[in-house]
Amino acid sequence: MSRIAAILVAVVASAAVILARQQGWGGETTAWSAARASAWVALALLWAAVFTGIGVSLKYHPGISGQVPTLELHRVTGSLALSFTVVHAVALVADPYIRFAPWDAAVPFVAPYRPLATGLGVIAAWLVSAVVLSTWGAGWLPRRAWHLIHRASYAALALGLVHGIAAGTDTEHWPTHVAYTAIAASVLGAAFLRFLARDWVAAHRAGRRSAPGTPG
Amino acid sequence: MRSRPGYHARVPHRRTNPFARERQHWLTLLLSAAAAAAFGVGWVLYGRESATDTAPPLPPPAASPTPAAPAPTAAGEPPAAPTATPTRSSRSS
Repeated sequence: MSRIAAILVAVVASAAVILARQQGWGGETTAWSAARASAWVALALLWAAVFTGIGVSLKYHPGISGQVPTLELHRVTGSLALSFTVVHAVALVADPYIRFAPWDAAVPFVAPYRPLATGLGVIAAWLVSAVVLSTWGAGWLPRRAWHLIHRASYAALALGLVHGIAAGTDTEHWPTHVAYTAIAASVLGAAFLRFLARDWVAAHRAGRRSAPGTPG
Repeated sequence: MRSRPGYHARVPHRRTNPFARERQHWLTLLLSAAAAAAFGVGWVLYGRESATDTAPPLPPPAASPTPAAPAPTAAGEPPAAPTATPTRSSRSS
């Protein structure tokens, strides 16, 4: 279901961007506006996927266990992150101002606009694609291979963040500073719990379970 | 979401396809709709901002001092007037 939804969202949103560009809806900059909006949505979804993935890995999601299925949240946000990454690339290619060729959005470091920053974004997009597509086909992959590919989501988020900071002038606005700082800090904190304080989390979880009337 | 007891002992090198066990379709639909709505709202808001950026500048008030005219070139020809190109204040991608 989430695979179908993700593909549908990517196709419909990309078609809307191309149609708006061809029909001139929203003016000359409509594709550029779509590229900016899709970038934010993709980054937010990728952050949500990584953050909830760490929660799933730790089997620890205080306060929401039993109310929001975290694993499902993780799957859907990851799939949708890929959808909006595709929309972002399509919108950049459709934009007449930045003049991206299709390969500029697919091959790192060849784009005419800020090639280093754009190249990091292209690598992040490929990593997201690898992580999501390997999960879609997880039944056919050896578990170890799937796990190694899945770890690339950390690199994808980090590269996506650097790409956003370096490739855009939204970075000059203070809400963007807050968003980037919140994304980095929350994932670093969760990764600390995941990799360096796992025993403490397990003990804390066991303590919560043993206490009467508290959900685990 | 728990796998059957002994399943991983029988198939230790494979990971079960998590999408085969999806049950919360409402969550998929809700999140997809929310993400699409967020994209639409962002698209409209950025479009309005771009329209403001590309709008022609207002004429200066009458009382304001006019800037000095640029000096003619060495050949005596007047310098070319700057073209009014639309600006794009934000280049985030």
